[in-house]
Amino acid sequence: MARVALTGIGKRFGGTAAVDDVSLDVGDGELVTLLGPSGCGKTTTLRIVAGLVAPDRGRVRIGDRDVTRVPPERRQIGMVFQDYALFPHLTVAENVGFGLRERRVPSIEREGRVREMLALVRLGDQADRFPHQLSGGQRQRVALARAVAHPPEVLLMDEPLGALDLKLRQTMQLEVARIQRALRITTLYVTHDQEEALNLSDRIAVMDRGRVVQLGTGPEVYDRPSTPFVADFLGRVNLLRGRVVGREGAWTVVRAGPHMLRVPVVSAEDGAELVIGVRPERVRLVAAADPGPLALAGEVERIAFVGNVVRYYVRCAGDVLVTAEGQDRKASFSAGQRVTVAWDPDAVMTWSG
Amino acid sequence: MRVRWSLFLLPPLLVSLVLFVAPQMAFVRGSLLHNLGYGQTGPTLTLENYVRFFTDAFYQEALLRTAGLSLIDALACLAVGLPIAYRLARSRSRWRSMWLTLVVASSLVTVVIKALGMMVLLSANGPVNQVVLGLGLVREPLRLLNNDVGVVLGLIHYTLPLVILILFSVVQTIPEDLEAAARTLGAPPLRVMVRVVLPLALPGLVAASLMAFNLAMGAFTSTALLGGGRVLTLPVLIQRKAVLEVDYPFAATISVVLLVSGVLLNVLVLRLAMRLRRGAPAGVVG
Repeated sequence: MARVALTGIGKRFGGTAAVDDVSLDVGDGELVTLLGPSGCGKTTTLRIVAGLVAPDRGRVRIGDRDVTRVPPERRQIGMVFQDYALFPHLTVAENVGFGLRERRVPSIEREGRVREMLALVRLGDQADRFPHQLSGGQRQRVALARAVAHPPEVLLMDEPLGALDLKLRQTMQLEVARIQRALRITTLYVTHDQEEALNLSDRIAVMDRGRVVQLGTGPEVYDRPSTPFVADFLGRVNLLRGRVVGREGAWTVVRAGPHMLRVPVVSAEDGAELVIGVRPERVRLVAAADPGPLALAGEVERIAFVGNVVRYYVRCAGDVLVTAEGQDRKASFSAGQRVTVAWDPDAVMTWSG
Repeated sequence: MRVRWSLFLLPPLLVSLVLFVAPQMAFVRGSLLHNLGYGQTGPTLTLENYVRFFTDAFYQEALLRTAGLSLIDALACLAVGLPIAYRLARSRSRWRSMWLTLVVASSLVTVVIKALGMMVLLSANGPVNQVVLGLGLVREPLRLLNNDVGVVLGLIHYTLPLVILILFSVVQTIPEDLEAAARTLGAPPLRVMVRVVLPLALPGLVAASLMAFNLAMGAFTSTALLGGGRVLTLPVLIQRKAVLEVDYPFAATISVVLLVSGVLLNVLVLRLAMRLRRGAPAGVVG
């Protein structure tokens, strides 16, 4: 097992920067997720760690070794690809034993190790089948067993569950977490699915336009997003853009369109631009006319039942749409009703705009 | 009403049968006739032409020579064509389509033109010999024409573009991630070739080499021109028997032997290849 350290990684394809400037440390046995929208550079970053893409700038270290110029076959890595990349002409057992054979592991030891790996992913009875005879989830598990069999110092996973349907994806997330913990293997995991990232990761690196914009544990990134982009990408958020107009006791007053909003005091000067965010689950709907300092008046535009929560879309003055989520299915609000949306001081997130 | 589109295949099938099978039947029948000279044939069917072919060492030698030269051509085309096709298929260069167009264009040039070009290149004082003589690699000009060497070079020139095109599309069906996966599992590029690319390209390698082999077996123009009448393959002998000696029955006999031996070799190789084949074709499972 080993640490992985990226410093100042950059990579351009043609004229555009796929990876702009990425530095990242993955601790021994830790699972770090690279999370971001498509085109943010997460897959390129992973392929740079694998050695499949050569970076223009920066260094890659695995353990004590600088591997920036080392070809993939000499990096002691295991990789799971989005579409599995199983060898169609080899059986399940031969696929899993591929890396062992390349390392000239004697066949008796190899067979034992392959059996062990197949047992780990619960495919012991499928050893002699070919990949095209397996289901998607089974192929996924073969790919995982193959990637960890040799065994590598680092496991790299590129959207490994992307091709599976929702139910299977959730099951496989548990599987991946179980296997990763059983092997205690340092893992870098690429996904664009925020729930998957929150579900699996020790830490999440949120990427945008070739950079890591925030690195932290799930709760850190969700509760204290460093930018409006992170807040919006991990979960939902109501964002309002405004300008600081003054101070009022414990509040900073911000003008956003026709609204004067109060937010817990910030150090920004008068006239500075500010982005305010409140997560929908922290927004309350109240019928009262004067709900307090942290509120906006509006009209319920639409009510959507989405299973675990009821989602209210409230249209406020100045074309501001606020989303609120509640657990209460018997709420006494209806579309067209005048309401006030309110929130607590600790629900407010602010960023200088 | 459902349209049965397969019915539309019937007319072309019939035309093909008439144009393809009927002449072959005529050949087979012709090969069983007795030659009376001056293009005349006897009325009864006989196996004497086949007896002559298979008892005269000259003809067996010609059959072996034809197959041997064709085999060398097929193997040479694989050896040269696969690296080129692989590079083309994996290239992301914007010149790729231009290179492909050149390959296609060269496969469309008439064999006569190609053979004449080769004769200029390979002659005793042609560019090839001037280069090797100039570099001091040999003292006397290499004899590259009117012998087996010239014929093989001509056959390669004739069949290589087609082999490259077939192998190009075969390599394209092998997902690049399979090679990346093999690399991450510890296989250096050459091992990736041996353990992943070649096994998955096997059906295509067989198809391409059979095509080169078959074209070479039937090649007349390039063999006749670059062999200078001294390399006697079966197609060259057929032309001699039919045109120079006016012995139609024996020309037909050689034709039938050429056809049957070709078909047998193809069936044999295909059966062998089927046995080697494992799993699903590349691209079916990612």
